[in-house]
Amino acid sequence: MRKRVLAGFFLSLSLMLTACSGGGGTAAPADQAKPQEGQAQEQSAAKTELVVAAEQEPVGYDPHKVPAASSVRVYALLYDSLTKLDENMNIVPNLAEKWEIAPDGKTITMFLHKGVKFHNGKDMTADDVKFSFERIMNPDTGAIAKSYFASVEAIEVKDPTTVVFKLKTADAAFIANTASAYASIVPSGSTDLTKDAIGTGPFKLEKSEPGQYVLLKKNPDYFNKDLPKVETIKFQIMKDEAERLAAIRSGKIDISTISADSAKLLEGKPGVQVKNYQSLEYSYLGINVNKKPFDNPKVREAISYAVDRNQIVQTVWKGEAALTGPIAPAITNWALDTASYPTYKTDVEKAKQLLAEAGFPNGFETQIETAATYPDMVETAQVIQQQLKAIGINAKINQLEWGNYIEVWKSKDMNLMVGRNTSGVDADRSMRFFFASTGSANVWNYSNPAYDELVQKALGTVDQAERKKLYEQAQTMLVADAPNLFLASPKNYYAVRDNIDFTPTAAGEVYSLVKTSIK
Amino acid sequence: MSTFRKRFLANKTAVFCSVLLLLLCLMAALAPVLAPHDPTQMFQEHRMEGSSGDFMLGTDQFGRDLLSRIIYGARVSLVVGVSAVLVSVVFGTLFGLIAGYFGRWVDGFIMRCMDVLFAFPEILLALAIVAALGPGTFNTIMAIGIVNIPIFTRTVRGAVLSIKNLEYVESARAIGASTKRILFLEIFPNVTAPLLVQSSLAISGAILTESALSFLGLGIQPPDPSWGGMISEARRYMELAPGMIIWPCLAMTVTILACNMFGDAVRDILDPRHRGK
Amino acid sequence: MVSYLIKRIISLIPILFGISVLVFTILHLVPGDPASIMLGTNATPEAIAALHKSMGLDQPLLTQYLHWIGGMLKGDFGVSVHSGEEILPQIIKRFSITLQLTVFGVLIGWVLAIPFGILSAIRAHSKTDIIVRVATLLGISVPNFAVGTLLLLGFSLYFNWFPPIDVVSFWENPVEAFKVFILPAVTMGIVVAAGVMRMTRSAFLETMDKDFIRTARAKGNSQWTVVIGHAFRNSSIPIVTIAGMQIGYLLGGSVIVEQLFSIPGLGQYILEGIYQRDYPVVQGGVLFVALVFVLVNLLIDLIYTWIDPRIKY
Repeated sequence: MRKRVLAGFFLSLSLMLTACSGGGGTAAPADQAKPQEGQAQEQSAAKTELVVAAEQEPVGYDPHKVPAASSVRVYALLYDSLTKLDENMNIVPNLAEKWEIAPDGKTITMFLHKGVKFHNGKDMTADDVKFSFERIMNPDTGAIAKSYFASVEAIEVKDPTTVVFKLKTADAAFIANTASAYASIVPSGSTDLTKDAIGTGPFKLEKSEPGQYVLLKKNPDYFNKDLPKVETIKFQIMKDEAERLAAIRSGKIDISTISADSAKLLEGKPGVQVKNYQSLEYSYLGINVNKKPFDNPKVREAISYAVDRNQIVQTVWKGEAALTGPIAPAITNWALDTASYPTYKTDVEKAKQLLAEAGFPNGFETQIETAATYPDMVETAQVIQQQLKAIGINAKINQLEWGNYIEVWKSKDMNLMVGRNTSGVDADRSMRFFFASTGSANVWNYSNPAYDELVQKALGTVDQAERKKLYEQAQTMLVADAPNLFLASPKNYYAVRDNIDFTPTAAGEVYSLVKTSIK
Repeated sequence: MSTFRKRFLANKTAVFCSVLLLLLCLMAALAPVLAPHDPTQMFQEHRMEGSSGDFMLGTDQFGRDLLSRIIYGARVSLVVGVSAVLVSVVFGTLFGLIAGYFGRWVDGFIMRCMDVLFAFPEILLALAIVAALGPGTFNTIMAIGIVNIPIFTRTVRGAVLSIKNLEYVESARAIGASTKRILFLEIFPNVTAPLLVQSSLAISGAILTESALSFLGLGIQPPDPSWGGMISEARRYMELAPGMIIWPCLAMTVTILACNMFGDAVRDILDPRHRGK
Repeated sequence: MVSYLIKRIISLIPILFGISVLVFTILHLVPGDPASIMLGTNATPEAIAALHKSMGLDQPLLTQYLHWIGGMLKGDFGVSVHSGEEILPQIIKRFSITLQLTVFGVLIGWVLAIPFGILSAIRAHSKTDIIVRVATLLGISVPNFAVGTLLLLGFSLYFNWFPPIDVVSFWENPVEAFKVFILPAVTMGIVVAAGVMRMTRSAFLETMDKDFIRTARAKGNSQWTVVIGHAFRNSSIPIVTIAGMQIGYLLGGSVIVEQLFSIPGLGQYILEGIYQRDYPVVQGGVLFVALVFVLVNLLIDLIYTWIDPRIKY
């Protein structure tokens, strides 16, 4: 009944609308879904433009300087890296056709793809590669990827298509790190990449209209002749999930990320398909191991036993997430099965007992910091707050605006903090960058010499089986020490219009967008 | 005052709205008695359910009882609304009295400051203040309160200007009453009426501003339920569980309507030209 | 009149100066800085330092303020610390969008409110009066983001209709612009209507009581002649006042509607600036909005003299 009243209300409104809009509309309002806006290219029989919803506005396109995901999804289409990932998380050739690693692991020779041109027509050569890496390693650039290539001693240009990287120590993560978009190859001599983006990538930056859209045009000289398959990609900025949902339903956009809740709504609806993949992200509860009472390992263990990770999976992610350790389960090469972690079996009694042993039989008061920008973090904090209540820990939630949240994160002075990380493709990033004593994302003051030694040794170990064993030890150690509780690794959802052939994978949106075609 | 009471009692809208507001306050005060459940308790097995015997208005995405959250939400929303307006009234009255009574450069200075606050886009000012002070109920109240100070300053100043030269004020001054005495004992009682009207309207405004801050992620901190926070949270679940948004909206609508109608009615009563037939 | 204008314009200077100090202070009190927000949880201290330097944030605060205000006095709004883009052209472009949205919203509000306000006044204290008043008040009793979401959802669910995603101006393509702005404008108009309706009602109640209306009535004029011919002009001052205030207010207050409907207006620009701690963007934007606000108020005062020639400045 209510539905009918509502429908009547909208029918009358919509009639008003069609009447007012000067006859453009037809009798059946549903027909309005078809583009009739009079734009020539939209009306032509074959659609060649892909419209992708962007949740956040890109903040610049310098691949060495801007790590924001909203920017990466755009500039990774403009630039190429030496290597890339395929959907099975294997490293495959990209600008580098092949590579050789010397037996001692200290010399890596990259053979470049021949005949690759930048968007300005210049050839991409070994000089550009040398320039790009030196730009990344120059402290004045402030590049994110600088820490990735700390082992590099020298870069030599052997001939226009051969580059040799000389390393100080063997670095098993080196090749994987060259796949990062942060290590994109830019033309030699570039200084300011904020405005002009000249890469070798499958698309060229055509226009960026702040607050509205970013338009990319196909690069006809792309070195892989079969790609890309669409003429243009338009990233349409739509910040509100409800808006994106409404837009994809009515066919105004072709591809959009959506939440697990929205996925449920769209499932089985005509015109739209819902696709998902297990992401490389995981949510965590960060614990400041310097702060009382969290400096006591028993308190951290108690918290780990008290938190029911399955409830988080069910409530926050509606069941569409996997339990995770320090390395997201999608990275099957490295991730340890979560069944092997004893503290993952929720045990409130044991938690209470541990807390009593630590000297807090009646619990204590504390704070959980979380970011208001991400509803899943706020929800996770609320679930954890309830679960901690059961063992007498009363936590107050501080829901912070993003800039403020980053500030608290940086301060290394929080108590508990809910957040989300992206596991790097190589285990080194997930383990060393986030948790080694000197790791720049280790804001938890966690410092365990045994752990540091283990991950450092793993980095220098070229033998894969041996390396894997070391990381397994490190993962077990980390979960037991609990500077973070690793909570859940969600599936990422996309809503895709029926006529679009788009298959998202863990290799990332860019990998799929390049191959996307319009039926 | 007795004529005011008589007129008030004769005005059906005023009586009806004040009863309604009293009931809402009662609901807020008696929340622990009235609410069937703890508003933050999560019933894992009952997420986003419709109404049932145990959960009369259904549950939210965590399986929390909506009815209990709305009852407790009255507390949060009314406390925020009323305290924020109190902040504005106290400062606004003080500034308005001083500006109106002393006139000249004092008046000019205060009013220019108010113009500055007034010209600053309201929601952005509130947002910036909360972001600067950090989240929390007290800071939210302060932010909303500060934003509304200029309106009250203007109302009070206007009222002061219109009565400051009236006979009784003059005579008080003639018998040598202190400035403080004149301001607070002679002038202030006469500006209470416009203040009452303005306040009842501002309370509804404050409740709405809190909800807007919640929409931007900087309202009342979870898991405490405020109606605005519940509505902005429920937006994501509008289709899956319409009850989650309908009930808090309804609660808010009733409260705001009552505040507004009450303000209008009091204005009619006080203003002899508007007296009803 | 001219001397009055000059006096008013001079009086704007301290207000604008006050706003520039206020916005600068509050903004720098907000924790967080643009460099670490840009780098997020990937930041390394040296990357932040390098970015700070390139953004000019390594200077003392007073120097930064003087540098900024000095530029503003010369009409130079500076560049965004993030994109390096000129701010003034963006402000103008986005202001034009917000202005269209606001004016459209206010018009919708008026069209809804004024007839009902008059009706309500004529039948004061009747059932019709109460129903009309409650109905218009409903518009401000629900948060506008809830109303906006409901509109978007309703149209996409029941009619498969969604506004065009590219924003166009009314002077480029009025039909298309109508479709772009209609839902956000209705969302705003509902709020506007409540205020205008209340003001219309009380203004009419007041004038209808005046002697010249009684005289007009006594002469045997019909109800509507009296209302339209006599009462309207005399009631329009308070209506114009509130409408003016609303335009000024909405220009800055359209933030939420713009955010909800992805309208790239000035409100969204400033909001995004606050989130990104893009100081010059927020400072310039707020100052611009404030300037428009005070100018609109000045304009309203001038309109008074046109409506009622007895008012002289």
